[in-house]
Amino acid sequence: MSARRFVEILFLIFVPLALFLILSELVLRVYLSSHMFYDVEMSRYALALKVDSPNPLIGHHHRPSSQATLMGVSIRTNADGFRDDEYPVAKGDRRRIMFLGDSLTLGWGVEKEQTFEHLLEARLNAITPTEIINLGIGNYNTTQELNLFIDKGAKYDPDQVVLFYFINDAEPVPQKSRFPGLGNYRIVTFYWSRLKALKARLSDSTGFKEYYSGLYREGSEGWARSKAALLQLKQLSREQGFDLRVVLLPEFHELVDYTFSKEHAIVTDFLRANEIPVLDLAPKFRNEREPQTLWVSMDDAHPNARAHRLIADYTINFIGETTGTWPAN
Amino acid sequence: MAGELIKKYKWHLVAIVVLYAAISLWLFFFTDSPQTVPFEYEIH
Repeated sequence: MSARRFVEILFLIFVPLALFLILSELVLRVYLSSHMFYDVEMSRYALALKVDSPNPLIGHHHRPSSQATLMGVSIRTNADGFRDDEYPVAKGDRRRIMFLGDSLTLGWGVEKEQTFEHLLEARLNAITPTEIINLGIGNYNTTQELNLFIDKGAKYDPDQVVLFYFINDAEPVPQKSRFPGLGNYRIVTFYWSRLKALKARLSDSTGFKEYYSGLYREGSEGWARSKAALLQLKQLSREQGFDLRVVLLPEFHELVDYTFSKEHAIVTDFLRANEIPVLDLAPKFRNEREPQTLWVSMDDAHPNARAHRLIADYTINFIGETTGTWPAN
Repeated sequence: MAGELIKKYKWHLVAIVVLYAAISLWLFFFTDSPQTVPFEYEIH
């Protein structure tokens, strides 16, 4: 092959590819100015608000005092990186509750005023002066939630800690993606996301069902770590004198014949065996025959504002049932 | 030389870019369905 022919082949491979990537990036950016893709928004979240934590058990936390519009809503963080107002460390005369959790507790895709954290704070306030501090951070598992509480939450000396457990809390601590360009270029995120969806569609795998169930198989390291973290949190509750409760949030794909009943039973059995009060919300949603009406968007099964309101409705008694004995002397 | 190649292969270039665009559009519509994969936890 002559040198000229070789150059021509390279030209026909790389020049159209470069042209396509540049044009696609421009078209996608215009399209995304009025539409949202979940994976693109999540990658924007990573770049805008997440920073590495020096604590490897936390992995990442939120950038303090920052703001970003993600999945169509504003997320503003306080000086501790929580999606919440600033709170003085010294406790006043209000009952102080702390919520631990992941993106569902954070209120991904939901305005702050419509999150179950905000709704519960307002409703509990009507019973007794209450403040709820939201430590929810996207992509957290139980180990990260525990360690964020130890690093940044315990100093607030809460009266009650409520951990909102989600089916994927038994995942290992997430590793930073090495995929080049992810987050910076929309076309890279688009192809990464859609090829992943294509693979799931063409394979025999049941996708998220198989994946989440697998987290609770015998000998699963992630679930073992979650159990250890829950026990450590129980130990802290005894030492520091706060009331510890766990709420199991449902996975919002199939609610009538709930997909993860067996896994929820594994978690509730463990918590009850260790005398940690637990509320499983999945049965409360069993009349929801159109689960997508509870999603943030079609490609994002996070709970939307209506789902947050229902979570607040179903949770308030469980969280507030200790209110009658407060303040404790 | 680049100018010469563009002139010689301009329709090849257009055809290949259109092909890539068609593949992307097919991927967009074919996978535009309710979420079926777990929440992605690799990005952060």
